[in-house]
Amino acid sequence: MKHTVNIPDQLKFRAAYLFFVLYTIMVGVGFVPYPRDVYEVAGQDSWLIVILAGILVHLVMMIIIFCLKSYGNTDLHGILQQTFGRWIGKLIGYLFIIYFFLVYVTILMKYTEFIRTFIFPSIAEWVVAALCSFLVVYCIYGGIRAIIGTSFIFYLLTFWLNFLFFEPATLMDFNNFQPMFDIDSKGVIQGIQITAYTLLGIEVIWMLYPYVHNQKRTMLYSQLGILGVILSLLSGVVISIGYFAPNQLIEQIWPILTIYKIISFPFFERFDIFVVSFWKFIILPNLIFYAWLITRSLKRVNNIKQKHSIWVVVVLSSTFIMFFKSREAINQFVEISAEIGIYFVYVFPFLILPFAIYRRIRGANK
Amino acid sequence: MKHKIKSILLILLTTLLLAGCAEERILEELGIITAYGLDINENGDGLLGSIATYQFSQQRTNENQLIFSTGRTAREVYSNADSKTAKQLVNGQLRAGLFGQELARRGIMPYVDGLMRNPLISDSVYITVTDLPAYDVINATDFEEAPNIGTYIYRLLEHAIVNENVVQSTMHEFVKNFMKVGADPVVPLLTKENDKIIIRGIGLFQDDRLVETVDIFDTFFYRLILDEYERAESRFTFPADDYETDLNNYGQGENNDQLSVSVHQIRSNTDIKLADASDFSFDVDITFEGRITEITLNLDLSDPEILKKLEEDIKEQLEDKVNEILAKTKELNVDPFGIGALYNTHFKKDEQLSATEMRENYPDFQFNVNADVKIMRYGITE
Repeated sequence: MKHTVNIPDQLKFRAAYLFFVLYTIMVGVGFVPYPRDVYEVAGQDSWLIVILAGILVHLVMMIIIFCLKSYGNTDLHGILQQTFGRWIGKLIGYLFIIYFFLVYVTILMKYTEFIRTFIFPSIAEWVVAALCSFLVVYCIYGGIRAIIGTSFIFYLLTFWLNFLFFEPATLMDFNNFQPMFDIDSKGVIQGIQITAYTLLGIEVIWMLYPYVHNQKRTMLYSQLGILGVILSLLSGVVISIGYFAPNQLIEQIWPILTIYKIISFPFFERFDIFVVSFWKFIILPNLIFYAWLITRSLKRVNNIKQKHSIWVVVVLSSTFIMFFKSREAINQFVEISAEIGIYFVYVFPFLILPFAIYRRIRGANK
Repeated sequence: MKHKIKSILLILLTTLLLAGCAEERILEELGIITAYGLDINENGDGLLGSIATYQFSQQRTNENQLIFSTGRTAREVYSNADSKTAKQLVNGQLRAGLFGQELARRGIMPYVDGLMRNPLISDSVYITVTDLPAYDVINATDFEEAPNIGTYIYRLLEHAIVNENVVQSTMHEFVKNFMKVGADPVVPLLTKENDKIIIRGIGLFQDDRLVETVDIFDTFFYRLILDEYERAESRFTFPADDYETDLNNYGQGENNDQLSVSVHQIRSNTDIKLADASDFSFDVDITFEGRITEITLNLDLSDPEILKKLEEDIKEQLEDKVNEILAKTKELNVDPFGIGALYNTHFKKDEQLSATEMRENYPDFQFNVNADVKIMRYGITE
């Protein structure tokens, strides 16, 4: 495997698209139950947690881009093999692939659960999986430009959902935020941990970096993307706290979808049903990016064609989700993979950082 | 070219699969539930449900049907009702739930919870209690030009809420206030008059049990304390003797010993603040700006002194009424204004009162009511 990645110019995209990429990959199934999860540990100060965790994510992103810049024109697997040697580098690369696969499966599972609760109670898991997979396969066949284009279009299709919070916002009770800052350090740490699960997705930059045309602007646009996500998460949390009574919020399984239950237009009475179906547009970029991460990684590590490996991903994931039927089993699986995610996304960059600094110093001395 | 055919095939295949997924629902074969009433059945051991459905048929338009059925749970009532009609019952269009007074006094949360749990039912369904048994009220056949009884109730309440005659009473509000520590739900009270459903006032709940009904005149003051007002109107009455010297001669026929004023409220603000936590005392400050829309005796309103006296009298009556209402809630031990929740916001989590402690302490709450009334205008004549 070559360490440096040379992408032909026609496959590269401009850095500005990173904003859409990060927005669409980070906003996902995790957003829907998030306000309740964080409320359980952080109470009415949850908004504070979002801001703190947001700062952390910005910081980690900075470190990732710093590392990428120090290593020159390469991606995750190039860096791994340059730092740890061929075999250990490959091993860590495989671990990453497994992690990407776990995330892919959790997204599918969670979405299937929505569909079953809200629209079709008896639909089989593999039907939902197959329906999503067709579009994923289509995008992988289309290559990186198709994927970036999809994320751009799906961003335009979905970001207006944020404006729907306006009506619930008028029903908010600001007393629910009192007393402020009633939170201990344990709550802060747990809260940040939960938020970090929700904000997984920044790892995509490890693989996308070589594809960026004007790499100097990577930092700006990826940070903007994260900012957009944090703001949208923050508005969700603030409105959930104001809208529900404290004990009520804890009982909601999907607070964000429940909030949509109050929205009704003369021409469209039950908007929540629409939102659940529409959520597919939010899920699809997630699935597409993770599928791309898996197949692209396999290509880099083992030189397997993406057009072949994607079918393996589809079949494996569709069978995998059939084993998880109840809400408890799904939750357990999601929790475990999210915990693993913390290490791959937030701890790993700190591991690479010293090597990157060393490289920079050595480069400067030369 | 080959690629294009492939992708078109893919799209076709997907749409085919998607269409196959959907359950078909033909409008003519559905009985759309628009409202339902729940009562305790005759034996007292179960529920009597009256389900108002709206059906479409090719021969007749807008067919309304009332189905009665019984069961132990609201869901059982629903499935029993399904066997009493040839149409498939669906509840996505439910507009209002009517709970008979007798049932409401026992607690309605189990049934509301059932609605809440169902993703097909909107959170903006109106929760109401009825003065008469619910099956009797829902049986009303005069619903103006509304196509069905559910839509009529929905329009009636929506109009009343917009005109600020009753409190906001969606299912979301009900559950929110039920769940909140230190707050109790308030819902509209419906009744039947001349074969038509009307609003009679509001019902005060303790947790999920109805404990008291309030007529429409007092409802004004409840809403004033709840601070939801923007455009409601109320009437104040004083002995006319106080104004004797200023009276011009009209309306001197009967009833001339009473002076009644209708005041339309322009702006009001109710501020409830914790004054002293140790003895649970609160300051209730009401600012009320209004305009006079009707007056039964001819007063010279351009005279600042008369206007001032009027303001003073209204203020006094407002304060008395609010004090009376607050005393009543203490006596009944219900907290429709969420004052307990307000109390709790001043304390850290471990020092807050729990729901049971709140109930024990609410009768000891002290209120210091202070109103400030201003008459801004009095129409186009003096």
